[in-house]
Amino acid sequence: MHTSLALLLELGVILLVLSGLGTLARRFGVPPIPLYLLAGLALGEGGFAPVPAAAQFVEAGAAIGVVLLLLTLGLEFSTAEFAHSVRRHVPSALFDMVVNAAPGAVAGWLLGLDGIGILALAGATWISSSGIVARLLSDLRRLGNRETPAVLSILVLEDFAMAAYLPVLAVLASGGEWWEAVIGVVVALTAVAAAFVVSHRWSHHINRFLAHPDDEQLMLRVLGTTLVVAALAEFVDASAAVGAFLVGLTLTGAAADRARAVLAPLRDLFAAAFFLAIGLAVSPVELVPVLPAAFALAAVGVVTKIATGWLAAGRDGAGRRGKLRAGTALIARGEFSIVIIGLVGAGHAVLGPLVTAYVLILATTGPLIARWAGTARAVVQR
Amino acid sequence: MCHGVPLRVWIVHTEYPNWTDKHLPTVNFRPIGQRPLVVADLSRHHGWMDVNEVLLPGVGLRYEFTNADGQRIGIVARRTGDFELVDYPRSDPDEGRPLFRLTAQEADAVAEILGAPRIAERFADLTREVPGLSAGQIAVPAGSPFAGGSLGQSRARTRTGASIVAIVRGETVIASPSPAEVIQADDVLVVIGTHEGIAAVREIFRG
Repeated sequence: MHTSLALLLELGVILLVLSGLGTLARRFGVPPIPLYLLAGLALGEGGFAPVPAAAQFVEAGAAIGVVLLLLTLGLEFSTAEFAHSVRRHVPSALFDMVVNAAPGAVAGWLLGLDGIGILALAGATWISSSGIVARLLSDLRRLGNRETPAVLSILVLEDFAMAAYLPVLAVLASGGEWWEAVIGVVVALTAVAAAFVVSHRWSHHINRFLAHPDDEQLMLRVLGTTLVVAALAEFVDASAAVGAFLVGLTLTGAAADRARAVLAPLRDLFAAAFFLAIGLAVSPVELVPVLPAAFALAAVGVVTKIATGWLAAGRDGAGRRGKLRAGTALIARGEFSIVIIGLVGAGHAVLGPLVTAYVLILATTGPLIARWAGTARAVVQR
Repeated sequence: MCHGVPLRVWIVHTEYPNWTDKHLPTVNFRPIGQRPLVVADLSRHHGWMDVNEVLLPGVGLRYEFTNADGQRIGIVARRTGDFELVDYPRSDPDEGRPLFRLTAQEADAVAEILGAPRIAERFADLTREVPGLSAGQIAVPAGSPFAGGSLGQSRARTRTGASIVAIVRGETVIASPSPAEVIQADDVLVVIGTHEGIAAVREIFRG
């Protein structure tokens, strides 16, 4: 029983520390993700307080964390909102993809990464953290602003693009040939389309099975189904994350609302484990040499996201200050950049530390810059 | 210009001076998370009011309108059921000034105070699940077998699946009538259900 004692103690202390860090982060108006990463760095090999017993749980929890992050993302998704975003903001989303993925790709090429590494780094710099940004807009009381729908539309389209991007990356990272990647993508896209059809046509059947009136049953059924589908997706090399996203897509209406509420605490726990695990996998010593590259990428990432927000908000007729607010709100990168690294991490020694540092920088400064932009009246007077 | 969906919202008041059939609130049934809107008017007159509806993907909806004083007001309806009210200063119409937030429960209380017919809420809950649902109005003819009887006696819901959510009687509206409510000739029943269900209710009251 000795190991179990160590596990309980270590895990308990870790959760308490995370809680403390989370409170601290909220006080300074930054999201907890970077602090979770830092905690992981401190606890891992080469950190100052290794936790061998809890590490096992964290590793296992991390896999579930990714699945739950993507499941809740799928649950948030609504066809009406997607259609609306497509109608209004496809040009903004394309611009977003090009200008934000390019710096990552160029940096990957300069660092001598292979094709997969370049693709992964491009994805990591492209995608904003919808979790952080949505929370930020609400915290800064900007839901009433004119630029806000544009920002949210970009997030919806980015998240949806991930459904195509992640399987491509997963197949390539698993060492597949290009044609296997193509098959993987086709399978993934077919699955997305099928999920849409299913959620449109037969959602009440699925909802009837999954949405048991009892909360416990609901949680067990949704979680069980998601894990099975995630495993199947992993089996065909399409990434567990994508499978989970699809399950989220097929649940709609009140069932989705309830599932979100029931799964939220689980998601928070396992997502924290996921961020910890990423920190654990990176040794602080590895972080130092990549810092210059990470800062340079982050600086470019700030500028390109501001440009994206500027364009998108401009399409909705916002003035200069609104455009600046939109751009700065989009800066934060977070969970998705980390998910991408989780997919390809092994075998790319430089990628893990680089993106961890990149996310640490932007998840912290992004919200601070966004906050500042809301008060920066003098800077951009017409 | 802000890109939203312009809505025409029929403003109703609990006293309907010139109520006619065609003035019944038209409720648009739209997809998930979008609640139909019936707004109560405290200034005791009625007419069309232009409300702009803006989708906030992942968050909810925002309704914007200009009040009689020329103030631009925004109401953010979040998916969680919470509300946030903002107003827009004339100097910068892009940035809403947060006024206050309401939890779902507080919003219910405020809606009660403002006298908004609770029908809208009920419609929203029912139609969120079932996109095929629609609303209809049925005038109770003088010779109806249920004129003078209670709503419960007609067993309309048991027989048709459609619900009578309001009774319009002359200048008053009985929202969410109980089964004991006595139906009179010339009442107008607001029914929601499937098309067939509504037609069946019409048959029942025609006798």
